[in-house]
Amino acid sequence: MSSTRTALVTGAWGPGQELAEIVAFRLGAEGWHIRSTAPHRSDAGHWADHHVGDLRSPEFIEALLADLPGGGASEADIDPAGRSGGVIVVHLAPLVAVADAAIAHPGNPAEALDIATRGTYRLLMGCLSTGIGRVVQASSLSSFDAYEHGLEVTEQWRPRPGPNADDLAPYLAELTAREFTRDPLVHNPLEVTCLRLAALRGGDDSSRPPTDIRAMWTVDAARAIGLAIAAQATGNRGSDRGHRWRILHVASGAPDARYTSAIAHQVIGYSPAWLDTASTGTREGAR
Amino acid sequence: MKIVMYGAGGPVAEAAIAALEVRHTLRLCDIRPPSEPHPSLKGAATGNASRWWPSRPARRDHEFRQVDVTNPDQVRDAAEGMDAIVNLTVVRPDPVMAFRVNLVGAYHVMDAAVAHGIRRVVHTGPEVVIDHYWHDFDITAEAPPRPGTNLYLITKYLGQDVVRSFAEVHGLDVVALYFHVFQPGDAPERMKGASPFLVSWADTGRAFQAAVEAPPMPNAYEPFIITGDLPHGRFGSEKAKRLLGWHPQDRFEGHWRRPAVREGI
Repeated sequence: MSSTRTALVTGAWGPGQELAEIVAFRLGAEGWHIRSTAPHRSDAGHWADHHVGDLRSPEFIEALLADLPGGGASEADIDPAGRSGGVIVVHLAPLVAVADAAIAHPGNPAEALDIATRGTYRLLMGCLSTGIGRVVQASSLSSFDAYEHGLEVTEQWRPRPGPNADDLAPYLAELTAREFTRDPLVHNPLEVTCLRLAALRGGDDSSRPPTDIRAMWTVDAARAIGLAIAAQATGNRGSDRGHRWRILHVASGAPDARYTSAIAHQVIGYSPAWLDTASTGTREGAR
Repeated sequence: MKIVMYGAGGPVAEAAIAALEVRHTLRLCDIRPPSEPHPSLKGAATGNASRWWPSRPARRDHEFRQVDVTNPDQVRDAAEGMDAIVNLTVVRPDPVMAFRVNLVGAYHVMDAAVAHGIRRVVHTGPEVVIDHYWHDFDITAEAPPRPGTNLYLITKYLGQDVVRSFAEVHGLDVVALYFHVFQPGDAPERMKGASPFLVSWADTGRAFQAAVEAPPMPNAYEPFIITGDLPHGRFGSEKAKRLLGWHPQDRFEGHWRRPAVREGI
């Protein structure tokens, strides 16, 4: 492994495949080594350093993190100043937990909660023990769909997930990760940026916003992830008031989008790709 | 009232059964059959543990079903025909089953409540407000949970959020009882390392009775701190008194006196 910077991308499979590929392609172009992982083998994707396994397995986590830079160090040996070094985890797995459960436990969607939360818990425990300090985690804006349509819902609003695996899996994974950033009993808490994404839409027509006001283009989600990684690397803590947990809403940016991305624009400079090429759109019009 | 109780084989369940069996019909469910003793009652510690366990002065037999709370079909079947649910299932140290019981199990119990139209659910769990509010006082059940990364606390915390989601969306009437330390009301000394968040077995039983019988709650998910009236000013049971009509009777007064005063010096 010649690169000094490594990104571990989880959830590189199924509904997370396209997002993972775009993230990996862009980071790879910047010189990052990409290690990817997924719960199931897939014919799609061309991963050079790919590991198929279950994030809930401590043995799999140990193997996954073992030879990454910083791997193998005990928590007590880690210099806090060095934790922002060359490894970042791009944790997309909470977005594919429901699809994973549909295969591993057909007919019991609640198993997705175990997959999302225990997988996140084991992964982040592994990060603590190997000295990986930075994580960008993907979540979903669907936890806010219960609010009245006309309300301007932001990061300051309490999530209201429905009692279903689609809402709960990424939401509970958020709650799990948050504790790793603020537990006073943890020697070196993690720094986690959680991006709550609108419903992802693939395809090529990203020159205009998607017609579904709850959706966003996958390429824009990848763009936000890249910006979040860059912000962490440069120590841009934005307006997080000293917290190591940061949450940002990321949506299409369209004028009629259900969810605003204004804080993500302000903090990490996020704007959707379609704004760059749209003939009628203006940057001021983005939400 | 017909009540199904999941996790009926542990000591907190024993305290709850002691109070509920006086007036209600119980369907007890546990992964272990009644013939198999609780782990804390096995082996050499049996003598001490059995003395430590709550007593059931009005003991009588109840319907029993062997139910694994991680099995949605078993959970749902056991709730059929019931008026209320008490969920006492818990796993503490097991890195796999803590998630599967405390989180996924909670989902299955709430799913069963919705399936059978059971509105009153008594959910239970540990406090998640001690370690991270270590220097605070007047802490209420509404304090934002701070479980940290402790396996037991974080999995129960996640389960609480699942229960809350079901309650709010389906308009259920969930009473969530948060506990920390239990001791017999006549325990001469406080448990080593215990925080001032302590309740007797008898008061624990009465809390379950109050939780089952109380009128509808103001909120779909209503959490309560269940502690005796202790003098420290850290945790209070005012809300449980006000909404559940629960009034703890054991104050453990001898636990908080200076040794010289206890010994009459």
